[in-house]
Amino acid sequence: MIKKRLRLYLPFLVLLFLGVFLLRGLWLDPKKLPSALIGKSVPAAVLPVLSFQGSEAEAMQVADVRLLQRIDELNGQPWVLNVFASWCQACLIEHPHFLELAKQKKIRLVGLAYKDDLANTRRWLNQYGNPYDLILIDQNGQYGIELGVYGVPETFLMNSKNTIIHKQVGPVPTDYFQSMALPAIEASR
Amino acid sequence: MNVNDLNQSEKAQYKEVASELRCLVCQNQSLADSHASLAVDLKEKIAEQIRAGKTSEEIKSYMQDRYGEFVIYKPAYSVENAALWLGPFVVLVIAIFMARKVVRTSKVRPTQEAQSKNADKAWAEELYKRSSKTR
Repeated sequence: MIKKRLRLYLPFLVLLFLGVFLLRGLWLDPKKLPSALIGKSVPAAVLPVLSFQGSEAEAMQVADVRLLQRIDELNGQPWVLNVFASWCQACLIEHPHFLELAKQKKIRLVGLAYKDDLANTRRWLNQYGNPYDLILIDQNGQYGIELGVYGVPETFLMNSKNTIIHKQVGPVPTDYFQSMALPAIEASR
Repeated sequence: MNVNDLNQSEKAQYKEVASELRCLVCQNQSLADSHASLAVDLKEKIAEQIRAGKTSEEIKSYMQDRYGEFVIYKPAYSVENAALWLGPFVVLVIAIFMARKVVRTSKVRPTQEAQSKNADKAWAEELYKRSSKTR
Protein backbone atom coordinates (compact mmCIF):
# COMPACT_ATOMS: atom_id res chain seq x y z
CA MET A 1 0.00 0.00 0.00
CA ILE A 2 2.70 2.46 1.11
CA LYS A 3 4.84 1.36 -1.81
CA LYS A 4 2.01 2.14 -4.18
CA ARG A 5 1.55 5.57 -2.61
CA LEU A 6 5.25 6.30 -2.91
CA ARG A 7 5.28 5.28 -6.53
CA LEU A 8 2.42 7.65 -7.19
CA TYR A 9 4.12 10.63 -5.55
CA LEU A 10 7.68 9.90 -6.64
CA PRO A 11 7.55 11.92 -9.89
CA PHE A 12 6.16 14.88 -7.95
CA LEU A 13 8.89 14.60 -5.34
CA VAL A 14 11.56 14.49 -8.04
CA LEU A 15 9.98 17.52 -9.74
CA LEU A 16 9.81 19.39 -6.43
CA PHE A 17 13.47 18.70 -5.72
CA LEU A 18 14.43 19.86 -9.19
CA GLY A 19 12.24 22.94 -8.82
CA VAL A 20 13.86 23.97 -5.54
CA PHE A 21 17.29 23.37 -7.01
CA LEU A 22 16.61 25.51 -10.07
CA LEU A 23 14.78 28.20 -8.11
CA ARG A 24 17.84 28.65 -5.90
CA GLY A 25 19.87 29.18 -9.04
CA LEU A 26 17.81 32.24 -9.90
CA TRP A 27 19.24 34.06 -6.88
CA LEU A 28 22.85 33.06 -7.38
CA ASP A 29 24.96 35.89 -8.70
CA PRO A 30 27.66 34.59 -11.05
CA LYS A 31 29.44 37.92 -10.74
CA LYS A 32 30.00 37.40 -7.02
CA LEU A 33 32.74 34.85 -6.52
CA PRO A 34 33.68 33.40 -3.17
CA SER A 35 37.18 34.38 -2.09
CA ALA A 36 39.75 31.63 -2.17
CA LEU A 37 41.64 33.42 0.57
CA ILE A 38 39.13 33.28 3.42
CA GLY A 39 40.89 31.73 6.42
CA LYS A 40 44.34 32.40 4.98
CA SER A 41 46.84 35.03 6.03
CA VAL A 42 46.85 38.32 4.21
CA PRO A 43 49.52 37.97 1.46
CA ALA A 44 52.89 39.31 2.54
CA ALA A 45 54.22 42.32 0.66
CA VAL A 46 56.08 45.53 1.17
CA LEU A 47 54.28 48.29 -0.67
CA PRO A 48 54.88 52.02 -1.16
CA VAL A 49 52.74 54.39 0.88
CA LEU A 50 50.95 57.32 -0.71
CA SER A 51 52.10 60.64 0.64
CA PHE A 52 50.35 63.93 0.13
CA GLN A 53 53.49 66.04 0.24
CA GLY A 54 55.94 66.71 -2.57
CA SER A 55 56.08 65.11 -5.98
CA GLU A 56 55.52 61.42 -6.73
CA ALA A 57 59.07 61.19 -7.96
CA GLU A 58 60.33 61.65 -4.42
CA ALA A 59 61.39 58.58 -2.53
CA MET A 60 58.34 57.08 -0.91
CA GLN A 61 57.96 55.35 2.37
CA VAL A 62 57.12 51.68 2.24
CA ALA A 63 55.00 49.56 4.56
CA ASP A 64 54.89 45.84 5.26
CA VAL A 65 51.27 44.74 4.86
CA ARG A 66 51.56 42.22 7.67
CA LEU A 67 52.84 44.82 10.13
CA LEU A 68 50.19 47.44 9.46
CA GLN A 69 48.09 46.61 12.47
CA ARG A 70 51.05 47.14 14.80
CA ILE A 71 50.87 50.88 14.26
CA ASP A 72 49.32 53.34 16.74
CA GLU A 73 46.55 52.75 19.29
CA LEU A 74 44.80 50.10 17.19
CA ASN A 75 47.66 47.73 17.89
CA GLY A 76 46.78 44.10 17.17
CA GLN A 77 43.18 44.84 16.23
CA PRO A 78 41.17 43.65 13.22
CA TRP A 79 41.57 45.89 10.19
CA VAL A 80 40.05 46.59 6.80
CA LEU A 81 41.76 46.78 3.43
CA ASN A 82 39.73 48.57 0.77
CA VAL A 83 40.81 48.24 -2.86
CA PHE A 84 39.90 51.46 -4.66
CA ALA A 85 40.88 53.67 -7.59
CA SER A 86 40.10 57.16 -8.81
CA TRP A 87 38.87 55.71 -12.11
CA CYS A 88 36.38 53.45 -10.32
CA GLN A 89 32.78 54.67 -10.46
CA ALA A 90 31.37 52.18 -7.96
CA CYS A 91 33.92 53.36 -5.38
CA LEU A 92 31.97 56.62 -5.09
CA ILE A 93 28.94 54.63 -3.93
CA GLU A 94 30.72 53.16 -0.93
CA HIS A 95 33.00 56.10 -0.20
CA PRO A 96 30.56 57.92 2.15
CA HIS A 97 30.19 54.73 4.22
CA PHE A 98 33.94 54.59 4.78
CA LEU A 99 34.05 58.30 5.67
CA GLU A 100 31.37 57.59 8.27
CA LEU A 101 33.30 54.58 9.56
CA ALA A 102 36.49 56.62 9.78
CA LYS A 103 34.72 59.19 11.96
CA GLN A 104 33.73 56.50 14.45
CA LYS A 105 37.36 55.32 14.82
CA LYS A 106 36.19 51.76 15.36
CA ILE A 107 38.53 49.91 13.05
CA ARG A 108 41.72 50.57 11.15
CA LEU A 109 40.98 51.36 7.52
CA VAL A 110 43.72 50.89 4.94
CA GLY A 111 43.30 51.83 1.29
CA LEU A 112 44.94 50.11 -1.66
CA ALA A 113 45.20 52.39 -4.69
CA TYR A 114 44.81 49.83 -7.47
CA LYS A 115 46.37 50.46 -10.90
CA ASP A 116 45.88 54.18 -10.51
CA ASP A 117 47.79 57.28 -11.44
CA LEU A 118 49.08 58.73 -8.16
CA ALA A 119 48.24 62.33 -9.03
CA ASN A 120 44.69 61.19 -9.77
CA THR A 121 44.50 59.25 -6.51
CA ARG A 122 45.52 62.33 -4.56
CA ARG A 123 43.11 64.55 -6.43
CA TRP A 124 40.29 62.09 -5.86
CA LEU A 125 40.95 61.90 -2.12
CA ASN A 126 41.17 65.68 -1.84
CA GLN A 127 37.89 66.02 -3.67
CA TYR A 128 35.84 63.34 -1.93
CA GLY A 129 37.60 63.09 1.42
CA ASN A 130 40.12 60.61 2.78
CA PRO A 131 38.76 57.98 5.17
CA TYR A 132 41.96 55.90 5.21
CA ASP A 133 44.49 55.70 8.03
CA LEU A 134 47.03 54.73 5.42
CA ILE A 135 47.06 54.28 1.66
CA LEU A 136 49.19 51.64 -0.03
CA ILE A 137 50.03 51.78 -3.70
CA ASP A 138 49.55 48.86 -6.08
CA GLN A 139 50.70 50.56 -9.25
CA ASN A 140 50.66 47.55 -11.56
CA GLY A 141 48.09 45.34 -9.87
CA GLN A 142 50.59 42.74 -8.70
CA TYR A 143 49.41 42.78 -5.09
CA GLY A 144 45.86 42.65 -6.41
CA ILE A 145 46.69 39.32 -8.04
CA GLU A 146 48.01 38.03 -4.71
CA LEU A 147 44.69 39.04 -3.14
CA GLY A 148 42.61 37.56 -5.95
CA VAL A 149 41.15 40.96 -6.82
CA TYR A 150 39.14 40.84 -10.04
CA GLY A 151 37.35 44.15 -9.88
CA VAL A 152 37.25 47.39 -7.97
CA PRO A 153 36.07 48.04 -5.30
CA GLU A 154 36.78 45.02 -3.15
CA THR A 155 37.04 45.07 0.63
CA PHE A 156 38.93 42.60 2.81
CA LEU A 157 38.53 42.22 6.55
CA MET A 158 41.44 40.88 8.59
CA ASN A 159 41.27 39.72 12.18
CA SER A 160 43.93 40.53 14.79
CA LYS A 161 46.06 37.62 13.55
CA ASN A 162 46.08 39.00 9.98
CA THR A 163 43.81 36.21 8.75
CA ILE A 164 41.33 37.23 6.04
CA ILE A 165 37.91 36.56 7.52
CA HIS A 166 35.58 38.35 5.12
CA LYS A 167 35.58 39.74 1.63
CA GLN A 168 33.09 42.07 0.01
CA VAL A 169 33.05 42.24 -3.78
CA GLY A 170 31.65 45.51 -5.04
CA PRO A 171 30.59 48.47 -2.90
CA VAL A 172 30.07 47.79 0.80
CA PRO A 173 26.56 48.38 2.17
CA THR A 174 25.68 51.37 4.36
CA ASP A 175 25.97 49.37 7.55
CA TYR A 176 29.05 47.38 6.50
CA PHE A 177 30.63 47.55 9.93
CA GLN A 178 27.49 46.47 11.82
CA SER A 179 26.15 43.88 9.38
CA MET A 180 29.34 42.33 7.97
CA ALA A 181 32.51 43.27 9.80
CA LEU A 182 31.35 42.82 13.39
CA PRO A 183 29.68 39.40 12.89
CA ALA A 184 32.76 38.15 11.03
CA ILE A 185 35.07 39.38 13.80
CA GLU A 186 32.87 37.79 16.45
CA ALA A 187 32.75 34.50 14.54
CA SER A 188 36.52 34.34 14.20
CA ARG A 189 37.17 34.76 17.92
CA MET B 1 57.22 39.59 -19.69
CA ASN B 2 55.00 39.10 -22.71
CA VAL B 3 53.93 36.10 -24.78
CA ASN B 4 56.10 37.39 -27.64
CA ASP B 5 59.21 36.94 -25.48
CA LEU B 6 58.65 33.20 -25.32
CA ASN B 7 60.11 30.59 -27.64
CA GLN B 8 58.06 28.09 -29.70
CA SER B 9 57.58 25.36 -27.10
CA GLU B 10 56.94 27.90 -24.35
CA LYS B 11 54.34 29.57 -26.55
CA ALA B 12 52.54 26.27 -27.03
CA GLN B 13 52.39 25.78 -23.25
CA TYR B 14 51.25 29.38 -22.81
CA LYS B 15 48.40 28.88 -25.28
CA GLU B 16 47.31 25.72 -23.53
CA VAL B 17 47.30 27.24 -20.04
CA ALA B 18 45.68 30.54 -21.06
CA SER B 19 42.83 28.73 -22.80
CA GLU B 20 42.20 26.47 -19.79
CA LEU B 21 41.75 29.40 -17.42
CA ARG B 22 38.63 31.49 -17.25
CA CYS B 23 38.71 35.28 -17.34
CA LEU B 24 37.17 36.66 -14.14
CA VAL B 25 36.08 39.92 -15.70
CA CYS B 26 34.44 38.60 -18.88
CA GLN B 27 33.27 35.36 -17.43
CA ASN B 28 32.36 33.61 -20.65
CA GLN B 29 35.82 33.99 -22.10
CA SER B 30 39.06 32.21 -21.44
CA LEU B 31 42.10 34.25 -20.49
CA ALA B 32 43.43 33.59 -23.98
CA ASP B 33 40.38 35.26 -25.58
CA SER B 34 40.00 38.14 -23.15
CA HIS B 35 41.43 41.62 -23.48
CA ALA B 36 40.33 42.79 -20.03
CA SER B 37 43.18 44.49 -18.21
CA LEU B 38 43.19 41.89 -15.45
CA ALA B 39 43.35 39.14 -18.07
CA VAL B 40 46.34 40.86 -19.65
CA ASP B 41 48.05 41.03 -16.22
CA LEU B 42 47.34 37.37 -15.55
CA LYS B 43 48.64 36.36 -18.97
CA GLU B 44 51.86 38.20 -18.22
CA LYS B 45 52.04 36.22 -15.00
CA ILE B 46 51.59 33.01 -16.97
CA ALA B 47 54.36 33.99 -19.38
CA GLU B 48 56.67 34.81 -16.46
CA GLN B 49 56.00 31.51 -14.78
CA ILE B 50 56.51 29.52 -17.96
CA ARG B 51 59.84 31.26 -18.45
CA ALA B 52 60.67 30.33 -14.83
CA GLY B 53 60.12 26.68 -15.76
CA LYS B 54 56.85 26.07 -13.94
CA THR B 55 54.60 23.23 -15.14
CA SER B 56 51.10 23.94 -16.42
CA GLU B 57 49.64 22.31 -13.31
CA GLU B 58 51.70 24.56 -11.03
CA ILE B 59 50.53 27.67 -12.87
CA LYS B 60 46.90 26.58 -12.72
CA SER B 61 47.07 25.87 -9.00
CA TYR B 62 48.76 29.25 -8.50
CA MET B 63 45.71 30.88 -10.07
CA GLN B 64 43.29 28.66 -8.20
CA ASP B 65 44.91 29.53 -4.85
CA ARG B 66 44.18 33.18 -5.50
CA TYR B 67 40.97 33.24 -7.48
CA GLY B 68 39.25 30.06 -6.38
CA GLU B 69 37.98 27.18 -8.44
CA PHE B 70 36.09 29.51 -10.74
CA VAL B 71 39.16 30.24 -12.84
CA ILE B 72 39.52 26.62 -13.84
CA TYR B 73 37.30 25.35 -16.61
CA LYS B 74 37.62 21.73 -15.57
CA PRO B 75 36.25 21.25 -12.04
CA ALA B 76 38.62 19.58 -9.58
CA TYR B 77 38.06 16.04 -8.33
CA SER B 78 37.10 16.93 -4.77
CA VAL B 79 34.56 15.92 -2.16
CA GLU B 80 32.55 19.10 -2.81
CA ASN B 81 32.33 18.22 -6.49
CA ALA B 82 31.49 14.55 -5.94
CA ALA B 83 27.87 15.11 -7.01
CA LEU B 84 29.07 16.80 -10.17
CA TRP B 85 31.42 14.01 -11.22
CA LEU B 86 29.50 11.00 -9.90
CA GLY B 87 25.93 12.26 -10.40
CA PRO B 88 25.62 11.18 -14.04
CA PHE B 89 26.86 7.67 -13.20
CA VAL B 90 24.39 7.40 -10.31
CA VAL B 91 21.58 8.41 -12.66
CA LEU B 92 22.84 5.89 -15.21
CA VAL B 93 22.84 3.07 -12.64
CA ILE B 94 19.31 3.98 -11.56
CA ALA B 95 18.23 4.07 -15.20
CA ILE B 96 19.72 0.62 -15.89
CA PHE B 97 18.04 -0.70 -12.75
CA MET B 98 14.66 0.67 -13.81
CA ALA B 99 15.07 -0.53 -17.38
CA ARG B 100 15.77 -4.03 -16.13
CA LYS B 101 12.66 -3.89 -13.99
CA VAL B 102 10.54 -2.80 -16.94
CA VAL B 103 11.95 -5.52 -19.16
CA ARG B 104 11.36 -8.13 -16.47
CA THR B 105 7.73 -7.19 -15.86
CA SER B 106 7.04 -7.30 -19.58
CA LYS B 107 8.61 -10.78 -19.69
CA VAL B 108 6.44 -11.90 -16.79
CA ARG B 109 3.27 -10.85 -18.51
CA PRO B 110 2.90 -13.72 -21.05
CA THR B 111 3.41 -16.35 -18.35
CA GLN B 112 0.86 -14.61 -16.17
CA GLU B 113 -1.50 -14.52 -19.08
CA ALA B 114 -0.95 -18.23 -19.67
CA GLN B 115 -1.54 -18.93 -16.00
CA SER B 116 -4.77 -17.03 -15.96
CA LYS B 117 -5.83 -18.75 -19.19
CA ASN B 118 -5.13 -22.15 -17.63
CA ALA B 119 -7.03 -21.13 -14.54
CA ASP B 120 -9.97 -19.99 -16.67
CA LYS B 121 -9.90 -23.27 -18.55
CA ALA B 122 -9.84 -25.28 -15.35
CA TRP B 123 -12.67 -23.27 -13.97
CA ALA B 124 -14.71 -23.69 -17.12
CA GLU B 125 -14.09 -27.42 -17.07
CA GLU B 126 -15.09 -27.51 -13.42
CA LEU B 127 -18.33 -25.75 -14.25
CA TYR B 128 -18.95 -28.08 -17.15
CA LYS B 129 -18.34 -31.08 -14.99
CA ARG B 130 -20.69 -29.75 -12.35
CA SER B 131 -23.41 -28.94 -14.83
CA SER B 132 -23.09 -32.35 -16.49
CA LYS B 133 -23.35 -34.02 -13.04
CA THR B 134 -26.56 -32.24 -12.22
CA ARG B 135 -28.15 -33.23 -15.51
